[in-house]
Amino acid sequence: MQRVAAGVKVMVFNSILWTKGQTGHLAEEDPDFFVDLNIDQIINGITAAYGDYDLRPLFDTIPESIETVRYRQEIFRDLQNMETLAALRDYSTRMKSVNRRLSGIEKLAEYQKQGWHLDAALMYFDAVRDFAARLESADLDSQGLRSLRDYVKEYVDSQSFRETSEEAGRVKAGLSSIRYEMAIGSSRVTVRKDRGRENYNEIVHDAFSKFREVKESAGNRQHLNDPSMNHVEISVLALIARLFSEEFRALMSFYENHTGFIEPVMARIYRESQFYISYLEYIKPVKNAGLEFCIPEIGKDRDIYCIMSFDLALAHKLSSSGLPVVANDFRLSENENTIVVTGPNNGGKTTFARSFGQAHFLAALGLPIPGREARLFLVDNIYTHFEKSEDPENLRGKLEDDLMRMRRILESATERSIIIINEMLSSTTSKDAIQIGRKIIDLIRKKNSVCVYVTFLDEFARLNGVVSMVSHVDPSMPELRTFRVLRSEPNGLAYARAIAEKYGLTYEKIVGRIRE
Amino acid sequence: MRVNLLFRNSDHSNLESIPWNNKDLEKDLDLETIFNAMAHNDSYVFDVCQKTVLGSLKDRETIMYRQEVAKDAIENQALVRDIYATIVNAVAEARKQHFWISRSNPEFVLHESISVLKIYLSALTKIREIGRSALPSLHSEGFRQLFTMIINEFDEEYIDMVSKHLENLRFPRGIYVRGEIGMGSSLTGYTLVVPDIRPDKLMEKIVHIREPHYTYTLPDRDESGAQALAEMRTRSIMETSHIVSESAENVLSFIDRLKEEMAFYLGCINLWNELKFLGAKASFPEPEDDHRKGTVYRGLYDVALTLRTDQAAVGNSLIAENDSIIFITGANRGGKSTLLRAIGQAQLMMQCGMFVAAESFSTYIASAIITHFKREEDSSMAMGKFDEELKRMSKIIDNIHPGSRLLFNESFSSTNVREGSELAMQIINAMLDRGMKIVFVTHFNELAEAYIGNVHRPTFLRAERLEDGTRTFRVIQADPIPTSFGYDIFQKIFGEGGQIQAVTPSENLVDEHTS
Repeated sequence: MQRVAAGVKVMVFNSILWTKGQTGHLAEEDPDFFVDLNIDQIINGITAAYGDYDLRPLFDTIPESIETVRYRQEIFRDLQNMETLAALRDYSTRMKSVNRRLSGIEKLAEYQKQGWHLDAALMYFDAVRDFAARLESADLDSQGLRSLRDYVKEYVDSQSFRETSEEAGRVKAGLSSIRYEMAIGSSRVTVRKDRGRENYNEIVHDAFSKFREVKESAGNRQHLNDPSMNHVEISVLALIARLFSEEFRALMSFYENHTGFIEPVMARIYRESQFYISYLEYIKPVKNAGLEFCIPEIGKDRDIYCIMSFDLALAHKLSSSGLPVVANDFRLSENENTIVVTGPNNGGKTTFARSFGQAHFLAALGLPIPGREARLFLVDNIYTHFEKSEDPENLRGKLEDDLMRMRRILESATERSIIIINEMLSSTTSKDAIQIGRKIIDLIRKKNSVCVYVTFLDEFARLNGVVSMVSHVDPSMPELRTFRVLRSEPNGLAYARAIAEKYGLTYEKIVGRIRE
Repeated sequence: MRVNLLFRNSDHSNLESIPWNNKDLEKDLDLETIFNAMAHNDSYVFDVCQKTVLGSLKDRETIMYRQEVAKDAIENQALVRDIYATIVNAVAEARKQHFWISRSNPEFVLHESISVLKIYLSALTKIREIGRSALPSLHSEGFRQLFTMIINEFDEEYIDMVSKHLENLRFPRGIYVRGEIGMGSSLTGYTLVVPDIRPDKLMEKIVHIREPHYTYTLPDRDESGAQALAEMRTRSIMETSHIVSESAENVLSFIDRLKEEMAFYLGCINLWNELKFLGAKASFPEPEDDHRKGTVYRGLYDVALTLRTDQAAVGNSLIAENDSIIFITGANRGGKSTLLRAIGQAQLMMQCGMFVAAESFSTYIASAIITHFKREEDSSMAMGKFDEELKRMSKIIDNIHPGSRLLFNESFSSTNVREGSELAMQIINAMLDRGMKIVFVTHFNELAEAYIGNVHRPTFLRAERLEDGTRTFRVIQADPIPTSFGYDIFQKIFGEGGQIQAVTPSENLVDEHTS
């Protein structure tokens, strides 16, 4: 049980990531399939700006219980409400500033240290109070956020919270009202209470105003509120503290009485909220580019589908370039377990396979997944076997390695596993490859794992019991690849490149192209 | 505080309006030769004239506004040259004040800005006096409002007041600031207050007795302390330095602007003088808003060719009521391209407010001026000639809108006549239907012929060739000569010994349109 601030009733709640608090260990390194499915890129992107929070283990660990997955999905569903998300985000941003203000203050001079401590505390009280108020008015359905709301409300209403925050406000008001005048010479500084002299900048500004209308001020006037101090200023500050002794005494007393003011569960929530915020932040540009995400229905059944699924790593990369991302549907009914993907090179086969794997992985973490609508099953693991381009020397050795890896996969895979194979048997003749591949597909079927098999060999797609999907080309514009992967018969056509009205210089085209 | 010699009512930067096809225009119309004559070895004048000429105006009012200023400039050449020289000198002197000093130190920036402002203020004073004495002989709105503004805004009194502040800002008695306590108890919000310039010792003593104050004195040889004090001074005058340096920059930008606009008119003067010296005629054109007014010119010639050959070129005349499409056909090296260039140059010069190289010139104001010239040298390995032409054409289509004037020179001649003509007709028809104006130089007679009697009422010009084959380099109004390649081919196949007599097509048969 967590230690809680005085006056707060002890409650079970302490996490927005785990239903019963975190049990079990977090993974210490990325799972093997991350690289092949480009999930390492996704996680790198998600955590790039969140290095302080050590989020990676959270994204590396697939929770064992379906309750935890649903606990997170519910919270994500609540966060679809922009105001709820804004509340969480705002709390997080302000907690970050609080921590920044507190970091390294022990090394500072007395008045400076106490000043930073006070400013951090003020910000913390504000952040928590606002968070409580915003949660109060939020429409919450998730168990996690409802418990959080109750917890924060009780904390804010506690007497100690109220008294401490009021004291901080009084101390700050005293300091803010201070005005002093400095005369800075070449070797001395004299301070006194302010005598109310006229602002000379305004006078100069007016005198020179005539020159300033030519072009508007470049703006971006540097604000003179840099809070760092050099050692002369620190000495001068001590003199000012003598001129205004009452205000500075109050500052010291606040510091001494309220050194550790952050409540432990509030600190934990701050870190855990990064799991939600960082992911939503990562998918935002992708959403803005017009792609959809959904919270999948998740269960143990094998009747699965996803509409408008896409490769998140690719979509994130393309979202900044404005290039379109192709989305594909997939579906496997109860008795189907293997999809064979064929079609022309660079037609989107591998991308399709990756998006299939990503969807299941992201869903297992309780995250919204790329797609309009989906039903998936909770995977226990994902295995990938991607063609490695290195080592062309020893083909025999390579085939051996490939098959060894495949055997290990088949040994550990279960009927809750996904196996993704990408151009595995290219180091042997087609005839051999077909024979071996057929065997492997058979073995996987017996395991009843779900398999996506990407290959340039049409024969696999014609095997009984496999689902054939083909990357398509638009017949009217064969030179443009569509990257659409659809369920259909394999077709080994060579796509002739048709040059039609290449430069758009026919009468009709020109008339259409000339703008008003 | 605006210069407004190029535009009546804005500080438009004409940099922005450099058209996408400026390189093509320069190359196809031989503009560099013209810019060189305008620049007279002043590379700054060259750059200004280049962008001003290329940044074509689209409105008649501004064109006429510039014409008035240009006329004043031509008649008051000393005024333009004196002001330009004053600015060049002031800028050179100010540049000497920019030492190696870091721009990021506000104290240095402030000192530098003070010095530079003093130089500019004295240049402005000089320009004010030049303007004051020239004012009676100036007629253009542009020059008159400029000098009136300078005389009013920078009078003696104002210059004195500003100079006094510039002295105070050297802070002879230290810097006085008001401050607050900010984040982390920092000393912050430094605001400069009116400094003690000449302290009254007695008054200061009394004040000191009444008010508690403390002084921090730097220990001797405390270098880091001196550094820290300098930092505080820097922060105190940060905003001040910003105000003063921004003012200096703005005065400079006014002066730069004035220099730039003067440079254009200086370029006009230079070219005008050069043409007069060569005995070539120049006149101010009449731009038309109404696209139905046609194109009329007398004594139009290629400025660049005249400058290159140092002699007045053959002038051409035309009265074309309909100028939607003008075909120029006829003998090779007969002056077709020269006339096309002359038309393009005149159109550009007209639309930047200059005079043109003709006794008179009038045409409508094009929304864009586009050239598509055959490019011998562009036939690279990577891209066939024809491909290159089409690609360039396609880019043009992407960039034109109704009211553009397009100058074609032997376009699509990199393929055979049939294909080239067919393609050209598709393009011409589409463009005419979308409201473009075209001048098309071609040796594809059958292309031009196809337009005889066309609904867009084409105008046909032809490079003149006398009966004895002499080229006059005049281009006259005349229908294209029907030609047949059949005989040539026949002869080639049957050899010189063929029994059939060759018949030279007579030009006289179709010359009745010649005016």
